[in-house]
Amino acid sequence: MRLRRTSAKSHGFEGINATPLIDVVMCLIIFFLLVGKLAVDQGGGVLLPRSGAGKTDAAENMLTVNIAIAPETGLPAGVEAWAPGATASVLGQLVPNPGAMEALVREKLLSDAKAVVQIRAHRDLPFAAVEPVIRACGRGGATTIRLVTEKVE
Amino acid sequence: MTRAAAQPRETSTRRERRRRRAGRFERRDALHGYSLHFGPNMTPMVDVVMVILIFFMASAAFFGSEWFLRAAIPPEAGGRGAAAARRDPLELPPMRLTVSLDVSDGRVIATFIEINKGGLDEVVKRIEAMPPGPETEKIEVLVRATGPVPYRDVIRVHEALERAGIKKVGLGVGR
Repeated sequence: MRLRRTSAKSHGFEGINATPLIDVVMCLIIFFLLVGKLAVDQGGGVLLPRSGAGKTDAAENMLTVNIAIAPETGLPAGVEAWAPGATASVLGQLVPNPGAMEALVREKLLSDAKAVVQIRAHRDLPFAAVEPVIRACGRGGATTIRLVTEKVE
Repeated sequence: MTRAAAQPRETSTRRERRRRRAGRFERRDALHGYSLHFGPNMTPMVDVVMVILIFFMASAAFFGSEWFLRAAIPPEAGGRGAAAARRDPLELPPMRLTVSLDVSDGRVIATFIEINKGGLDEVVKRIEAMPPGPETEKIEVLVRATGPVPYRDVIRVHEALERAGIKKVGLGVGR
């Protein structure tokens, strides 16, 4: 009887090659970590008011203003308490005064006339904290704003 | 006579052939197959990584999605208002209504059409009872709130207006 020839290449089933899987999974994790970090930066720890109605159409160029409850430790040096009991920030940087807010909006609208200003304000704040930001947006040239809310079905 | 001397001298070709023949019959059991794989065992790492991935995906889904309510900034606050958007000078101005919100005795009171300083729920119900249609869509509503009114109540009124089909909602702010 002739013996079956085998070669070094034909060892049979040697298990699944996990390397591509790990590559893909690691890429996904890095992606989620970055997106999560960016989302937190944009969110600024603001609990949004809930609403059962709203729109979701995306804008290409947005200026997002976060209005959060002011820390109990007080505001950092150089930042005015211009939104009572609250802090206004853009991309994680505190906006020190209404003039700076106005300038940010103006600059954004000059670079792109279709830019949209969206306000993410904490749900527990009084309207007095949001009002000066809206006023600064108006003075900066914005005619409409978006009030971001948490989607409730 | 030594053994090596007894055997005929093996040529390199013959030696090669013998080595190849010996390689044909290899152990093929599972343990031998496993021992051929060297390097770190990736299975626990893949397990952990998959758990982390599922955690991130689940937490991303848990944090609710966001949407927005569009609000116009009236001229007194620096905005141009809706009036500037009208192109036809002969066009009649749209109906303008105001929802006023204030706080009295720690309670939010609202005024809208025939409701004078009523409860917020009452006003929200009144807004939602507005008949939907093209006439309602043309109405411009200004939400005017005093400082102590909670922001979430302003949003609640805005949401009710949105539900009623009113497209032009402005937020009144002082100078």
